[in-house]
Amino acid sequence: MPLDLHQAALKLGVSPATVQRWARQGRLGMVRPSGEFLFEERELQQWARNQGLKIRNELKKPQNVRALQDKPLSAALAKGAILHNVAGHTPGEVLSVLVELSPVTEDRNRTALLQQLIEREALASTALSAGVALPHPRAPSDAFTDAPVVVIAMLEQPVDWLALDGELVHTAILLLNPTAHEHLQVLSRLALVLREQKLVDALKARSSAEDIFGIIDSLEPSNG
Amino acid sequence: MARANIFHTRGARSEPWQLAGAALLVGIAASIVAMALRGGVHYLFDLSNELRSHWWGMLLLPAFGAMLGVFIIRVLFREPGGHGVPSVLEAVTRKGGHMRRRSIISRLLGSLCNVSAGGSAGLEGPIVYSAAAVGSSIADAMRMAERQRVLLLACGVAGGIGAIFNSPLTGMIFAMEVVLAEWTLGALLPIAISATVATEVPRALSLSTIEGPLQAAGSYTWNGADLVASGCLGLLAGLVSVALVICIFRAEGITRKWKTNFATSNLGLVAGLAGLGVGAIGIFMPEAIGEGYGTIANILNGTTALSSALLLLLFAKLIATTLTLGSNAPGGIFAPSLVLGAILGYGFGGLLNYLFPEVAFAAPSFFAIAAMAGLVAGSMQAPFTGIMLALESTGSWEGTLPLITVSVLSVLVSRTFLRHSFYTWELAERGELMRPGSDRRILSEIRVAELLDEESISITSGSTLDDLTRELPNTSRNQFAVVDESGRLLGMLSVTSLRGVIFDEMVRKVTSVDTVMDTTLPALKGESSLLEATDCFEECGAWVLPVVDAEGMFIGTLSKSMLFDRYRRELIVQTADHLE
Repeated sequence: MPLDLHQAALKLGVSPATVQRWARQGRLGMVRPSGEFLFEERELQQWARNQGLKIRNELKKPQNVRALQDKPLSAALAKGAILHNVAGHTPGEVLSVLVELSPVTEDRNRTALLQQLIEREALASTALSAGVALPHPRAPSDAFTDAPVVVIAMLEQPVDWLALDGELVHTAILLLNPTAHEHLQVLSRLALVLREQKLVDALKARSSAEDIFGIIDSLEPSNG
Repeated sequence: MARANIFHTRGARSEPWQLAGAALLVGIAASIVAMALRGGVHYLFDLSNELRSHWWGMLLLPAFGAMLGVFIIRVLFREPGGHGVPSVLEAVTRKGGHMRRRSIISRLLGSLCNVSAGGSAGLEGPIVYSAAAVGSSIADAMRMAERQRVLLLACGVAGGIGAIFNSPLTGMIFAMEVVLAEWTLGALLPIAISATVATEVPRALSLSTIEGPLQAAGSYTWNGADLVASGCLGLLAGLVSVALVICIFRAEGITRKWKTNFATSNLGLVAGLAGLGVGAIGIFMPEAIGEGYGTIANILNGTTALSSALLLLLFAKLIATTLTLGSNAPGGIFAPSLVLGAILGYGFGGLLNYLFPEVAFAAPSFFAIAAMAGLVAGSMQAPFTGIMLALESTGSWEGTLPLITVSVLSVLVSRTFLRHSFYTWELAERGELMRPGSDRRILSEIRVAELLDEESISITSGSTLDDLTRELPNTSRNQFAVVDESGRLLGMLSVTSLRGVIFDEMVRKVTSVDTVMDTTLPALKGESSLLEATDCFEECGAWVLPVVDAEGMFIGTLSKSMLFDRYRRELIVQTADHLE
């Protein structure tokens, strides 16, 4: 089936006007010279090869973008968990419990994950403000998860997480992302909802998982 | 109003004279190379005639010569096999005209053994190769720049061809049409000098004109009917050239496969086997093997019988040439093309006179000359070279029109079936045939390191986004490289991708650059050419890519906008013919 001007332009990665000019100059053969621009696909490919141009067979999707989530944070939380009464006196203890409870697939990943989380804390504390910490591995990796996962852990007792504002941490939110792009997406949403006192209060009050999920879902703006 | 400056600067005035002087030297040297090879082959061929009188000598000699030739080139001199013209083109398009000094004699010795022992190949390819190396070496000795070195290399080629065919114009045209692929005044001058000198040296030394046999042609008259017949002959010549080129390439493919399958480090064995085949052909048709100028002489002076045996001879020569050149035995395609052309044209002329006795066609040997031009033109896709060679070396200037007809139609047929000529095929298939001023040539000559953005900023791994935002007011860039303590590139960070998190101070403070950097972007190497860089940009769709050195240390960034800006300047410089 012959391609029209727009399809040919798409394949060659130039604008239709450029294809038109090339055809007018006689550089690129057309099927029907009578007004309508039509190009035989095989001829177009052969021509591009002779010119040393690359043909685009389909529009390339940016690498990082998975199926676009309407609400990335809620989706990641749905894949993760909301836990109450997570035990531990130090960030290290909390993290090891958290890793045991979080939904990662294989056991061999858990030790590596815990090690990475502790390494990251050693670099600098992940404690945010208002008693919330955001532990995460230093580098996003698909070794731990195939899709973004968020685990909210409300701690059994406040823990000194070396926060800059000196507050004790009552809630640790574990972030696992396969890519940097997804980490940024989830992180920006998290920063947004944590600015709302309503959510922080609910976390402090140890509200039920359904309530917390509901609050986050209502606070997170929709991409659509 | 300022006075127009019609005078050159001092350098521009003296450069052509320097080149002219160097071209003179190159011409003399190229001529010596051509004479030495020609003389050596004649001497050795005559010497081995005694052996050839026995059937076993005829059978074994070509195999021995081919193996020895391959051994000399591949083992002693460690060079790629074959006729060498692609290597010359590669030197012109990819290596700034640089050829190794030992190349002057490697192919001479190799083809001397092969051709004098009966291999069906020519000496012109090897002479082109040696003479080109002579030109390149003289340019090196005179510390010339690349462009001048390429020119002197072409001077060597022109001189070699001019000397061996006693045809200066052919040498000039071959050098410009096939080797340089550019017709500029600046190039013409030194090439003309070299070709003239090279042709004159053997004459002055009163050595018999080197390609004497071709001069055996007499004087011809032709009419309109012959011109029409020439059209048909041109199409036939084109088909035979296509057959020749395709046969040789198919055979080369088989040779390569055998080489890998049997894990032989050199092609001597394959060439030897093929040589046995050549010898077998020689037992039944001695006219089909060797260089074949004797065969041409017999045809041009009309002593060869006009019979259907000519068709057999045509096939025998085609197969013998395929065996010799397809097995990578050293030798060229020039002479076999001429022989095939002579046989084809002679037979064609004979057939015409047989079919249409009432029409007064020109002598069959006239068509032989025309088809020689056609075969050379078709296999090299170089019409001028074919026309000029046949005109000059046979002296049949009155046959210009039929010669043009045959050559041009032959090239037309050849272009219809073959995308590249016999000489350019190998390079073009590797994507390395880069003619002057072409996009690929220009891109391939610029290194990524030349285009680095000096302002590019890197940030150390472990820093937070807060550290990054403090850097932002100092730069207009929005792409940052993340490096480790030693400066090794770890990833790239784009400010635009941080839009969602960069305004929240607490998030900035708890987010390390390592976590949010993009590690999927490929890094360019400073030593890479822009050809590779543009492919890389095209593939990943990025606007800015990091550049690292050989050890993986970050040295800067390259942006598409910079690339375009510099590319245009480069285009202006490279397409200006400053030697004109």
